[in-house]
Amino acid sequence: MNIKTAFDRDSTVNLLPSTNLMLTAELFTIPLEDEKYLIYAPLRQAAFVAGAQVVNFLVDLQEGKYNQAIDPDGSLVNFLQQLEILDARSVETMPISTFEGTPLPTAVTLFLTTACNLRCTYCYAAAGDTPLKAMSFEVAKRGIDFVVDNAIRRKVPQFEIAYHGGGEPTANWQTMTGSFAYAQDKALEAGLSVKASTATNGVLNDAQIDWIIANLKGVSLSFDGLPAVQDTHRITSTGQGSSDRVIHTIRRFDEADFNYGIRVTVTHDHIASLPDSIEFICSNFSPKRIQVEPAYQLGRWVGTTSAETEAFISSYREAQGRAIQLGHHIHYSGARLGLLTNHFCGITQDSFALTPDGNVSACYEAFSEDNPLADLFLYGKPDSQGTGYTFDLSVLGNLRQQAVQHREFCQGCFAKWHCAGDCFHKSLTVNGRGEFAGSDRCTITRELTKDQILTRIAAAGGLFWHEPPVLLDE
Amino acid sequence: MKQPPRYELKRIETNQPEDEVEIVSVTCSPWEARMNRRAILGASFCSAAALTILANGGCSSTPPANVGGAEKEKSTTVNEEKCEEALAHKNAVKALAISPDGKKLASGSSDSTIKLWQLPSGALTNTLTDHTKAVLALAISPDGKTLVSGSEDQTIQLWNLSSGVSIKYWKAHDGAVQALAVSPDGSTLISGGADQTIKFWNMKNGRLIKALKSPKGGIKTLAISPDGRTLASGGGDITITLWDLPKGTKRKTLKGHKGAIHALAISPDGKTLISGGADTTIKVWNLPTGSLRRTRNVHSKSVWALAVSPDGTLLLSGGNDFLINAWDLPKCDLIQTFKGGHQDAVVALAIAQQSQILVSGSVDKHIRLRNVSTGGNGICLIDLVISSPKVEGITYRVKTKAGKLVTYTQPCGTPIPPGAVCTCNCVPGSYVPYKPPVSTPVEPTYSGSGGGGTQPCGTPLPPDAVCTCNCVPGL
Repeated sequence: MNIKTAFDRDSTVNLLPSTNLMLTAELFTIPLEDEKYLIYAPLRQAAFVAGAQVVNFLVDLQEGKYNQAIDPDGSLVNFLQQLEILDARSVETMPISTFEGTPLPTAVTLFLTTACNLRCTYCYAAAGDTPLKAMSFEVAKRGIDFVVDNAIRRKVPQFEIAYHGGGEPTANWQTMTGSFAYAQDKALEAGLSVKASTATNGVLNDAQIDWIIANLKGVSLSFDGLPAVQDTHRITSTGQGSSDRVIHTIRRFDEADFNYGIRVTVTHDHIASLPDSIEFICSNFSPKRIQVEPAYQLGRWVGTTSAETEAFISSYREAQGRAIQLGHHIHYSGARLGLLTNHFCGITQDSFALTPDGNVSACYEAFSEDNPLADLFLYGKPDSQGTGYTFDLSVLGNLRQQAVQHREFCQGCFAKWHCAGDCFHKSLTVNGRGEFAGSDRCTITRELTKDQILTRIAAAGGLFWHEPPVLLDE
Repeated sequence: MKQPPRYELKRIETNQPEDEVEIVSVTCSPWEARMNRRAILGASFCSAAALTILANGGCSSTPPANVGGAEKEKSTTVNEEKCEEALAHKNAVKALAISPDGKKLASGSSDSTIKLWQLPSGALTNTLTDHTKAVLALAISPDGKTLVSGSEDQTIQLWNLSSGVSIKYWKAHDGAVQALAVSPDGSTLISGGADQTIKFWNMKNGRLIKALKSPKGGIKTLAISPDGRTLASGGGDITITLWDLPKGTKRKTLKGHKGAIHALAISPDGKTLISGGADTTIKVWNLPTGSLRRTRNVHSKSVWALAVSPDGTLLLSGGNDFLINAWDLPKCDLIQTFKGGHQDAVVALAIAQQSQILVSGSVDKHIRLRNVSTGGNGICLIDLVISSPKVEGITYRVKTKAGKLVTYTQPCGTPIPPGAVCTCNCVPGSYVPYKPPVSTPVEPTYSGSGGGGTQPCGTPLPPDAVCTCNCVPGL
């Protein structure tokens, strides 16, 4: 963009001779209070807070005009150049990765069972109430063989197993332990390493805890914090609370310095308790990560009051403050400032998960052929002719298209390269099968992402955040 | 049907005058702000009064008398009084490391933080807060990409030095990690702990290669020769051990000190080992034989820190007597004593290769930059967030050879280079103390519906960023 050097009656024409100024960043302006604006360039990882005139100065530049009244000595231009918003040497790169062809995954998620020893009131899978399905060792073995073969073919040194399900994976203990032992043997035979992890509700006996500590690389444990909260919604089939059992498990993990994360689900009636629950967790336990999510209105919780509210945002912020004071940090799945990506989750990345019957799903919430959205998320089945799988590339192709660069709805959102469009399954349950149209989670994501940007600015000295910079020639 | 979010750049109708240009300082995190409904809807940040640094006349027009300016006679000393309130850390500075290109300084402190500073401007770029206890040791990989930190919390952490983002951390010792060294080829990290072990780690994956049992008293210092064949360790048992690398076999025990060994340094030619200790002496040893060449006794109290200049001709020592001494090598004759400046033990020293800048860190919470040739009190590095609200800063712009304007911020009283133009002079400000969030491990440990992700926390100010102005009107 060339700026005119000739004097013009219009005061907005550049009067600085021989100056070429070019906006070199995708910019967003996020209104704050008191006519202040957070100006954010996500792909430059740059942000600062400014008044309206700075925003308008940038708009002028975008239109090919330099407003000298706003920047008489060029210091604003210099500032913007340092942030690579102006005249950056490199072109912005969109964080887009795509997947093509037949999948060759080296990681498998096994939905071991729909059985569960709890009857959590908000369970998205209504685990324990659905027809019992349990994965056989043979089904698990086939999946493991497939990923091992792929690892060898792709010359990847390791493969991974994740245990999950529309139920409690450890309720199918025999297949869990048997499949992992098998995987270890395969790894040894093939000269590979294997890592496994599981989700769990934490209601485990000591033998199970010992095995998990000895064999798995990590665990995601669902736990809602204060016993009063935990025992309201995370109950046994007889209506008893589970806090004692789960706390015992967590303490055993802490004693072993085991790598576990806690996932906290927040229902509408316990939003106000979230800060206390987080304080309880952070004061008493040592999880490596704490994830906080509002309860999904699926399964047993369908039709209930949503927790995806402003009150949740407020409570989350207070909970974050308490976590930080205690040396922790809480996370929300959509607010990921540290990540630049076009993928929210594995559905756009050929995630390879097996239902108990052995069919291939891309989505943790579509764990069974009975799921109303199974036709959108189940994209493969065992190959009747061989030992692998056949894939419906049409279904898979549709899933791959759910990456954020294809979401018209998201293009004007400053969080798009972090959130990457949020959960497709959730969007379908909210909006139906039409064009993606976001959800109340989008508001939460934007607010918490904005918080993270402001935190980065404050931590970096208070005036701006940018990484990495461009060096001016010395 | 929800409306699509629209945050693209667009013109704003405003009644603000055109010359009221604001870049607003964000001084606290949203977690600390008191939230109300309006805040939730519109904002979630705390701001100091708006800075009008980029507008005409945005700064105080009358500079204080003690400020060096382009029009005034150049001062070579820093106002000592101002420096005392200009803190680099909240607690004792314990460790320093300078990147091979001399552009980045890392400091570790008893306040459990690591700070990254730009050299030679002294601008603070990042504050890293992952450690939970004092940071006692720092090292930078030879390629300048990775910072290694060792802490009283028994962990070692690897950081991307450019971005300040944590790469990996692990529990390394059953006691404080007190010393670190990186092999010249960058492949091996060596750590010494209060648990009396020396451990060798693979720098890429953090895996333990071997562990050596060291003499009693814990390891306080390590030095590795430029050819990567000799490791020297010293600690509480008052001897120095030489180890053959890479095998880790003990070559020799050097006896002579009468107190704990606090500091070791090896000359660039690999022929000289220098040690300093609680017995107040500095000893010079021949390598690889380990024979004692010379003993010097000038410090009146324990010697805590040693640094050798890149050309191997100068040795600097820092002590509990608050002094920094300069010695010529290889003779180890005293050349100069840097007086004044630090008000407590000097426990860390580093020399920037290219710029001949000496950096000293002290229990007095200050870090000072000095020119090795000219000495003097130098300038104090300042973290404005933790320093007294009375601390004032000076901002000046310098035109580079390429004709670009670069802006620097320094504590008040810092002399500005010839030709620089002061843009903002020593305005008192108020700062709300801010505690940055603690980062979490890199690998997500969870799975579940809703997806997962990785959230590296930290303070990612880029390595050579400069503050445009720190002038904040009082609240």
